[in-house]
Amino acid sequence: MSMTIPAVRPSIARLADFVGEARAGNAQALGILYDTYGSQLFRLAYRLLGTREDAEDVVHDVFVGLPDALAHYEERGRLDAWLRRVTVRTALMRQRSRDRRREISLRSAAEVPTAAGLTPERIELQAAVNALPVALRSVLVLKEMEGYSHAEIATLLGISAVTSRVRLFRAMRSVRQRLEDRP
Amino acid sequence: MTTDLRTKLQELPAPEARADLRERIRASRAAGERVILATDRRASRLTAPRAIAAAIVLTILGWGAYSVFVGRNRGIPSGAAVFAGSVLWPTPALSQEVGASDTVGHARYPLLDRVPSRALQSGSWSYRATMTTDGLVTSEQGVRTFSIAPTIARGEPAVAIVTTGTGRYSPEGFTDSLLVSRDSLRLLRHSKRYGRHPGGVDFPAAPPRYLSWRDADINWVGSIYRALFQLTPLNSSWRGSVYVPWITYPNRVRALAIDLRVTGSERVTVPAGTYDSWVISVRFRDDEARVYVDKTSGLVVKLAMPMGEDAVWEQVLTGAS
Repeated sequence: MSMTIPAVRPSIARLADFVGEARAGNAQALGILYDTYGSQLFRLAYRLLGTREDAEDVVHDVFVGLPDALAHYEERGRLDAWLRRVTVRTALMRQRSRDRRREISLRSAAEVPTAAGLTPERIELQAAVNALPVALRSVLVLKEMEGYSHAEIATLLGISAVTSRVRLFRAMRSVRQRLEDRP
Repeated sequence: MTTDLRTKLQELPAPEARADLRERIRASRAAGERVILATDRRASRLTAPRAIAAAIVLTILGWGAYSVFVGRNRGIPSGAAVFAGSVLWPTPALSQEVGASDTVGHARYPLLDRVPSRALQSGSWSYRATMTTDGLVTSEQGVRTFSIAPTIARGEPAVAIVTTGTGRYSPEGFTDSLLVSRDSLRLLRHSKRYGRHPGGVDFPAAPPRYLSWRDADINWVGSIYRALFQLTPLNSSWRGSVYVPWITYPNRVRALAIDLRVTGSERVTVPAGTYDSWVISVRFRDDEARVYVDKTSGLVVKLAMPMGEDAVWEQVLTGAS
């Protein structure tokens, strides 16, 4: 049976219905939530992890676990913000798991996306971000690319807001140095 | 310059996820895969005096609970001890490596940290999966084939325990396999494949504690039950508990108990025949699933698991060879 995919983005009210149905394990509702939020969550995971495969695995896990996780969604905040927090946590867990298995890829530092719009300058910038240690890159991505506050980052990463500021400073300095040192 | 760099960072493009990711998610859900995500529960807002009072009360309660709780869980065996025995069921075995402070609640029954040394019966069995909503609408969820076959792995006799299937949302099929030592039943490898996405974890002979934690898989249906109950003699008072990892925060994995017990016996009719079965209740947090096991062969003839409030996901035995 093919799934009906809405031609337009569902309204907020309709999304609330889908959330309820997805919570009960309805595959069609889950598919609609994926269609609505999957791309932005993938981009977020990609920015945190640096590889398409890891980002896809994170989004996979988020949506497979979503029906159970929605039991904790209190519907007081925006769904997309809640989903983004869940995605960040899942990505960070994956990152730590990868570190523990020493799978930090040789590829990760060198890999740059094949997306359209990549100029040589952007490729170098992406490589500089990918080369950052995980602790610094997480803060840089969350603050400068995703717009989280230091207080929110502190909660997500289990660090203090001051530590978040320090890491951001170091990350920005490192990226700048790498860009300036290029041959 | 900082502003300029920020702008450039925000403009960095990202690739799109592959088109089959949506299908992969559907396949995993249809196959009964479960992922427990780290969600945030908002703490209720407390005023300062209330917070102080709450802290005092919690400190007192915490001290008392710690004394009782730690004392109760001192009997949890070490990871090395568990691995030295029969570890057909990888996740709970790995979970029992944790100490008391990492354990949420505690097991109600004796831990199933050993499986009796019996040979697994070779063969192949097929199951039909369905989802019934509101007790009225039943939709087909594909078929599963479960097989047990002798093989050789790492130069030693081993047993391959494999569940393959297709589902409503997984036309390319999926495979979930366990490779265990024939003699010790120690898990050698757990691998899964959904469509074109293979993945597997090798379990070394002496796993580093934390490596095994993260790679443990919460897979408490399907293959595990079908193999476990073949090996475990059941009776009307049988009961046992296991711990599985529960991820509560990015850097925190805790152990949560699953409690299993025989709640009765029932004559169950499925497409493959009619079986006098033990009914086993499986409690995991607030969920309860039921597994029906043939009294003679130890074969799982039916699995029933609630999916939300109104739906039940079932597998029933359709044939054996």
